[in-house]
Parts: sequence; structure tokens; C-alpha cells
Amino acid sequence: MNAIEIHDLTKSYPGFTLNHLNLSLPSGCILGLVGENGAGKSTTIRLILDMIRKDGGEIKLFGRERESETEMTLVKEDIGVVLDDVGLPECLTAKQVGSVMQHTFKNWHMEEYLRLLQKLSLPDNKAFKDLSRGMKMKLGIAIALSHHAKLLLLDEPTSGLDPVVRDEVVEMLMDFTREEDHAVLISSHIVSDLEKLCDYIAFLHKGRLLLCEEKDLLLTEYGLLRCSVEQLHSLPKDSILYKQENPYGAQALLRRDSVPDDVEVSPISIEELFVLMVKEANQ
Amino acid sequence: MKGLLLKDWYMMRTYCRPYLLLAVLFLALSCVSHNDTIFFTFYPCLLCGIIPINLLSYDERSGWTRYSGTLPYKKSQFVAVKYLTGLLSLCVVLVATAAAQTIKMMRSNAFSFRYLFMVLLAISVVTLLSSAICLPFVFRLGTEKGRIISLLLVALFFAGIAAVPALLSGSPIAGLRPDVLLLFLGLASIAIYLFSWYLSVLLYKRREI
Repeated sequence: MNAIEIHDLTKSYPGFTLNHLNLSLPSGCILGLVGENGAGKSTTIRLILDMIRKDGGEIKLFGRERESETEMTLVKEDIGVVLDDVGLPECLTAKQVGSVMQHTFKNWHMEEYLRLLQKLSLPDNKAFKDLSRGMKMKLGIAIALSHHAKLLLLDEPTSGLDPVVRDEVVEMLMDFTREEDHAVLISSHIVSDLEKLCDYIAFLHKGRLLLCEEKDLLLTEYGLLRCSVEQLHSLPKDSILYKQENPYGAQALLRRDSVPDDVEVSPISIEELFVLMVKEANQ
Repeated sequence: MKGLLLKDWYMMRTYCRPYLLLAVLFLALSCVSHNDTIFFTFYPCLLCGIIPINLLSYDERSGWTRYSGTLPYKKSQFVAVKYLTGLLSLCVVLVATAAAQTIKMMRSNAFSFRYLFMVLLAISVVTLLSSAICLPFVFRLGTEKGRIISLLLVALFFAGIAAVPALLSGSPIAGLRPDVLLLFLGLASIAIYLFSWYLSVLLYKRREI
């Protein structure tokens, strides 16, 4: 079953349109939503959660389209969310947050929450405003993981975190998806984190989906060629997705299956692929 | 909804302590004051009227308004919590004012239940009406814009109320006893508060968070 299915999702603001977005996230998988600031990542997450109204399209969560606010409220019991600014009241301590959430989620697991606070070295009596950015984010993740959620929606959870904390977060998310009915949608512009974590990658650019594919397939499907300008011109035109030429040579993003066997194509990282695809889309 | 109420209770404990101190101070002053000044008596109820709006303002500033949209609550429940918080604060102020006024009247050996009832009713009317006018705007437009518009409307509304006696002079209503008129105003303010609650739910449902 798919945890999320999005068909033709559209939302317009002055100066921005999320344009007929189609996405699927199978249960047991992690989907990374990559995009620059303002690409539509947060808008997508807010639409999934019904925090903003869609202009068109369909969103199914756990196989069903929610029809009423009551139904959506029930679905939210199974969704753990971490927003980029977390959004907890500044004066509340982690202990008080736990009490609030205990009366919020039917499946709240206080022992698990306290275990996570301890594991993540989070003080339980310090006001939220006095925590560091990393600690705030870890607290948000501890909440999301303490009510038996089946789906995590994480909006830029690793931005502004130091590499050690980022690694901890990545490990926790990997643990979460060991259960086969668990799924994660994570948005970020730190592509290296997503590369470690995700099964599927989707590129969003100016509200448009550039691609959505299995990560391993992407890495085998696309390649990077650094060569002379003449060599580049000798390649079939339909194999070149994007090229950059300068007096010293050329660089091109290629589809490997349409390049002659004798041409040596280097592997490409997700970050390089994203940057080149955005450049191609901007052309 | 218990979680939301608990969260607001924690926030009130932190942010509303200065209000509590001021309310206690003014009520104490109203006890010992020999003049029949209404300022000391009514100031705590004005403070109480702004508590729900201040809590909404803190919610917006911390990002809770947005985060709360991810939690399994209906929008009507968010609205209900603020209206209930307003009512609970009013209850606290009424109890404290009743105690202060009783002490004051006992000290001068002039206890009047009718007078006490009228003071408490007047406090309820002022608090309920000011909240009822402000909250729908704050829920629709956010605290920044909503507060400015609603403060203007509250000022206009109470200026209108002040002008009512002059406008009604000569009409049958002008002949009503003040306590009957106040009772009528009390009932009207409860009805307006409930309508405002309903309106806030409608407006908040249309707001994108």
C-alpha cells in the first residue's frame, strides 16, 4: 500500500504555483523531496496535512482520500510531523510538552518519549526557547516518534544542525523505516543527507516536479561526462540532458543508456544531478 | 482538547503572572479605597479580556499556530480553547472581585447583595463584549492586524454604548431600572459571546495556516 498518493495536486499563490504534482510514497520507504527555497516543498507538506486548501487534485493517505475534517483528524493520529521551526510554545519544557501530547494523541507512548529524551540528551526541565537549534529539532523528532506514527512528514529537519546531530537524526529515521508499514517523506535542500537516507528522490523546482524515481535507479540511469567540446558534439543529441561548454572543455549530464559504450561516463551524485537538472529547467 | 487546554494553562502560568499581580493589587486598592472609584474594580476585568488574545499572539510568534495544524485537532477545538480560557479567566476575576467588594462593603457595614451582583454583572458584560468583538478578527487576520482592527471596534462599540442613554431618552427603555437594563445587557453579552464563538470557528476554518 502507498502511504501517500498525490495526483495532479495544484495550489496557486500570487507569484507561485504548485503545478499538477504527482507523487507516490510506498509504505516502508523514505522519499526525499529536494528543492531550492520556495520550490514548493513546505507547500506540499502543508497540503498533505490539509493545513491549506488545494486548488485541484487528489491526495490519498494510507490508501484513502480524506473527505472530512473529522476523518483528517483521525489520520493525523498516525502522522508524525516535524516542521522547520518545530513550533512548540517557547515557555514549555520537554516534560510539559510530553504531558500536552499525552492528552493530544490517543496512542501517546510516554515511556518511549522519556526514553528518547534520555537517548538524545534532551533536558526535560529547560524551556523550549532556551534549547539550541539542534535540541529543538531533536525534541520535535522525539514527539513525532512517540505516538506510534506510521508516516513521518519532515520539513527540513536537518537544516541548521551540526553534522553529528544530523547523523543521529538520519540514524533514527532509518530505524523508523525498519517496520514495513512505516514511511517517511522528508524535504531538504541538504541533498547529502537525503542521499544517505532515501529510497526515492523527487526534485521540485518552482512548483514543478522535475523527476521522482528510485535513488539507486537514478544513479545508474544518469551520468556525468567531462570531455572536450568536439567529443561532446559527436554524441547523440537526445542523450544529453544538459551541457556546459567553456574554452577548456565541456561537462554534460547524460542518460547512460543512450550513450555509445566506448564513452566513459562518470557516476553522478544526487546533488550534482539536482543542480544540473535545475539549470536545465532554467534554460 | 485537554492537551490544548493544558498547553494554555502552562502558558498562562508563565506569561500571565504579571497580570495576576496587577489584578490583586488593583482589587486590594479597590478594597481600601474610600472613594467609589470603578477604575480599580474594572481594571482586572480588562486584563482578563486580553488574556486569550495574548495567548494567540504567543502561539503565532512561536510557530504553534502552524504546528497545531499538524496535530489531531479540529479547528473548532482551537477556537473553543481560547473562548473557554476567556470564560475561565472571567470566573477567576469574578470570584476575586466578589471577595474584594464584599470586604470593602463589610468594612463600611453596608453590604448589599444587589450592588455586588450589579458590579459582577457589569464586569462580565465588559469582559465578554470586548473578547467577543476582538476574537473573530484575531482568528481571521492573525493577532497583528486583528488586534488593531478589534481595538478600534471595541472603542467604537463602548463609545456607542455610552451614547445610548442620550439616544434613548424619552423612549420606554429609558424608564427601565438600571439593574434590569444591566441584566438585559448581561444576557445580550452572553448571546453575543456565543455568536462570536460560532463566527470565529467559521472564520478560522477559512484561514490557511
